[in-house]
Amino acid sequence: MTARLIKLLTGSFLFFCLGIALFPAFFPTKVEKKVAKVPEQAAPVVRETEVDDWSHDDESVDDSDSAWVEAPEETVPDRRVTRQDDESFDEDDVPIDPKQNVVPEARVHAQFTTIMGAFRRFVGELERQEKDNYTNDEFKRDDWADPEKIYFTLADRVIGKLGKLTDAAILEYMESPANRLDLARLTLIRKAGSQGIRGVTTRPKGKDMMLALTSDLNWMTNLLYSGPTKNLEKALTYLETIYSQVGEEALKVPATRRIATTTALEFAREGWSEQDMLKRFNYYNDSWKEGKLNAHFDNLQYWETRFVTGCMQPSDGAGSWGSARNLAWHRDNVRLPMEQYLGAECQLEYRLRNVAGDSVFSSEYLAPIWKYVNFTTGWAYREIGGVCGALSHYATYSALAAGLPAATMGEPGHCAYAMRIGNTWHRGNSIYWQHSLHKTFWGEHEWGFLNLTQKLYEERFKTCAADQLVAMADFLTARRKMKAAFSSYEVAVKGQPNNWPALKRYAAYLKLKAPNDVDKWMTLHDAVMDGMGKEHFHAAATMQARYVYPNLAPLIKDRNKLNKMYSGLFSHFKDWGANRWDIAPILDAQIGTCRTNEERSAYLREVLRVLMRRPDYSGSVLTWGLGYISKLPAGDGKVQEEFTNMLVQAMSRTGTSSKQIDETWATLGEAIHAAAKNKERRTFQAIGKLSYNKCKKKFPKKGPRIKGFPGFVVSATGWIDTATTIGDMSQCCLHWGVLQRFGGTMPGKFEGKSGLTVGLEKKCDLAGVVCISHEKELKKDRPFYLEVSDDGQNWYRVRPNGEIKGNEIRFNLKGSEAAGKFVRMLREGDKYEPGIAGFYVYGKPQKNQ
Amino acid sequence: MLKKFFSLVTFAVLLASPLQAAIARTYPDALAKTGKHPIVIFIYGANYDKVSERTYEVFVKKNKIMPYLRQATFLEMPLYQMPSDREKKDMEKRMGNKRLPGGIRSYPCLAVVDSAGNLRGIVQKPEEMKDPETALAALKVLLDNFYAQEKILDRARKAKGEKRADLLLAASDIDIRMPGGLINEEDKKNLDGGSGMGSRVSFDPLSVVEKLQTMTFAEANAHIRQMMATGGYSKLQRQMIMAAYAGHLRRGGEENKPASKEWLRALYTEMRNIDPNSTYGAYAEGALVIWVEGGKLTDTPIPTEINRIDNRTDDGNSSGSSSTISASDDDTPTTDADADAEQSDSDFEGDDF
Repeated sequence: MTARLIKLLTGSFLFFCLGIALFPAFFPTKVEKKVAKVPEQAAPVVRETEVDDWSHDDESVDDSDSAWVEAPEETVPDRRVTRQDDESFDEDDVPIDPKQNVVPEARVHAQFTTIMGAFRRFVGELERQEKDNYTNDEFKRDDWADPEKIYFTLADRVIGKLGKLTDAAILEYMESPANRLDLARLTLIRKAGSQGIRGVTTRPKGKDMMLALTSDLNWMTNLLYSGPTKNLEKALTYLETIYSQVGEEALKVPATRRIATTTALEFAREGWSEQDMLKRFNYYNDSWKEGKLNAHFDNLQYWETRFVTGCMQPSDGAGSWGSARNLAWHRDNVRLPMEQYLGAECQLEYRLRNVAGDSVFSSEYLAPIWKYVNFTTGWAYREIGGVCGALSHYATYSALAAGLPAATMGEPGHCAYAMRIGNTWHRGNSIYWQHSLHKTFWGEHEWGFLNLTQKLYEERFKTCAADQLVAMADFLTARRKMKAAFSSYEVAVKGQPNNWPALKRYAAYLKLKAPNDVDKWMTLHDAVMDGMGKEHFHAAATMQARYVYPNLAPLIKDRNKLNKMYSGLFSHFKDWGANRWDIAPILDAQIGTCRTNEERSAYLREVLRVLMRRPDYSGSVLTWGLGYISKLPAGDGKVQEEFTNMLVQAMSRTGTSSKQIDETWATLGEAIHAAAKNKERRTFQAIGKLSYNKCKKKFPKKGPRIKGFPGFVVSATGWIDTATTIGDMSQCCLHWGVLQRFGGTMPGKFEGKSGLTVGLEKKCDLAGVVCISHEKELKKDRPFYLEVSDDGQNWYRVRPNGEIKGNEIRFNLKGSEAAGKFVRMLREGDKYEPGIAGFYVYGKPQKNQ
Repeated sequence: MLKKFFSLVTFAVLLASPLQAAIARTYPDALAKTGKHPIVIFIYGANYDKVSERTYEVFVKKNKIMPYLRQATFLEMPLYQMPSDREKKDMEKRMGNKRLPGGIRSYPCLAVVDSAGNLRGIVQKPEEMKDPETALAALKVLLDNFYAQEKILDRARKAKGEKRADLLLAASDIDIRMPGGLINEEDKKNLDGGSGMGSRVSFDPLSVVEKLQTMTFAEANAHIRQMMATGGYSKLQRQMIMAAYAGHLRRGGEENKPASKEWLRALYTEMRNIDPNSTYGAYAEGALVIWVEGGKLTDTPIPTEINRIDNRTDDGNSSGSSSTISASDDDTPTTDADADAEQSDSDFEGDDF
């Protein structure tokens, strides 16, 4: 009986288990139903089109979509909202409205007049409404577990409310805070993806956090429109972590909310860990609560706070500058008024080696001191000293620790920093014009873009309005309202012409939807010039070179017109703008659109004609031209010769009046520097002689007295290059003088395999070398030595080493049988950088050369 | 009679009460009136820093510092961030045509400045400035040292030749900054005499490193021992010399053959014992852990066995473990000036503190 009962119970239990296991198959839940019924082989229901995908065929996709619309009810598709990034345009599976499936005609400036009035009204509304924050908790905490439902509910509502989809209707719609909150919620779901939102709601306080966030228009606006939102779903999980820790009430405090949101956004964007994120948040939040941050921090907007809370190197440990431990030390030990952080690197001693002789680049440099300084990087360097990297980081992180925007930046062979005083960015510890910022919003590292970022977000409400219009355009794109989407993008970039990401996005959409619409591309080109091109020259030129020229140039048949447009870019700019910038990528992009040598030749002629009249740009265009020629395939050399002649002619046209002499000197300096780097002996010599003819007074009158060696000074017709990175190239023609009897000046650099290299006209049998330094007594602790080479690649050392007497180094090569086409002088061991006044190689050219 | 008695007592009490510090309103005023006494400047962030505001409230408004400064001149100096026109005017009024001395790393702070405007010492670390009592303790040390050094410098100003050099050396041994521009051209000729002050003034730690680079261990040892024996180097400089020497041996010189760990142990121990509490004392301690014991530096205390290698003698010298390495001694010669300095210490010992 008992056995039977057991069997019965076991059987019932097994049946029950089977029932549970199979239940979902027969009675799927709502979400599973959606996922389960996606036809495996069907066309993707959410179409994602990469920007660069030129093979995209709208019609075929439309066909598949229409097939899907007719699918039976049981095959309700997966309605997941794919995460939309800045590089792609996703489209929901909705029918195409034929009226909207057209590219609107390009508009001229006058056609924007009315709508710009409406845009300005919208900007005014944003400013007026900010004080009365709009909140609405229409979607409850549990609703956020089903973000698709919210998305499609809102999508239908927004489209319904927009009505005619004209510019005016869209701007009028956006004036209502309730509507903007709807759009923000849609944007949030699109940018984080419905799966991402769902992931957040599965976290302990996820639903509560989502409710609090999405009910608050100001919070949503600051989250979505204060800079890039890469990995937004991650940022939301980070926000949930903070929300769980501090609670909702704490996040109602504006400063805490700002610190939390910006920390979450930046750590998600950079891909840094949650643990470090929380430490960073706690550092700034606690410091703010304790009143330890600079008062300026209280007034920062979200975008600028991101420079602070998103500062680099967040992990704890020796050598990390952005750890909470290090920031706290800087905050407490380097408390200064804002202006004094610029220059705070003076608190550190500049040392390439510590007092024990360990190199600053070795791990031994700070090793014994870490415990004493409690593994605090700034403190360690303050005790021991450091080089440019440590100095610049010290000043930067002192400001950051106090809550002030700053960032380190690279320069050629150097580390400097950028620091904001008031609303202006200043360079600190900077020695070159080339800056590569270590913290950027758009991955553009040059100074001009930092300046652009500042100017863009200074016009906060205007930028916010434009960003929201872009969000609307993205939404309209997703709903396949192409005409309205185009229109919204255009109003956005017209309304805020400095909006780099908006322009980029519009260009990408144009490339996708109307790649051959020459009028539209031309309008975009002009819009960039008239807007961003008024003040932000580098950014405008980059926008044209990277996103406009490659698309516009093939559509313009008249090469002359195109060349005029290219040279017109530079005519449009009155100077360098905020900072000098590298014009080479722009010129490369322009010449890259030429298909034949004739077209290249015509382009070069035009661009030299215009740019050689511009003292700012002339040196750079020559440098670029020389570099371009050196990279051309060898061929028969005719093209090279033609282009070189063109450059030399252009150089010879440089002015020699007293007013122009300095400009000419600087222009030729840049060009000769490029020639040396390219090992272009002829050009080096040509520019050297030209500079001597035009600017004779710049050269020494009398050369150094030297006792030579038998033979000719074979180096006089060669080129010379130094291992030193040269920031200011205006004096580089004096490098040519170093090879001449009257002498010149060039910086030396001797350490390891660094030194001076001379390229001779021909391979020579060498009799001796004399080097004259500007230093009266050269160091004698280590020898200078010579290496020679036939090809500039394979070197061999010749004996004896140099004999040092005062400022002279002599190599007597008699009997050494040294011969070669290239000679270099080196010195082992430590850094040593005496200036060089003369360098003379004696010998005889080999006959068979 | 009784009235006369009370008057006398009142007068005596008044005389015995601590003298209030002179208060200056402007920096030029402070420089002018302070004479041979120091100026104590409370410098703080006036419009950007809550920490400064709190410190100002406690230190100055509640009068916790000033009564204890005795003969020093007190000046409060607000600093403004991006000053308004009104604030600029205030700054101009306070500073006149003078500038505050450089070298201050953090505000709020208490800067000790002499009548010539030389910065002689600063209380600026957050742990020192956390409350008035701690700040006063640190300030007392500075003021004591100031008076001690000034007393010797007064004698040095009157002395000539080697005697003057000896006094300058003794003054520079006191843990406070020397005033600038003290050593004139004539002094320089005498500095390299018996005092060794010349070595101290012209000391460049990296030149020691460079000099050692091409030397054998034996040559390096001889060179360093000679420096330590003949130079008038300060404790810090001695530690730097030892760091250069030990670094050279650790890397193995030109031949790249590092010295034995025992040798390094002796050197780093010697280096540490010159002044265990200094940065380079800590450096030596760390070096013993990672380069002699092969350990790692962590947040935990340094193991006791490392501490035990100390063998410190009463005079702070290390016996070392290698007989080939001579022990250094902290042999700053005791001069009359030192004796005077000690005397002066007691003279100025702060009964007001």
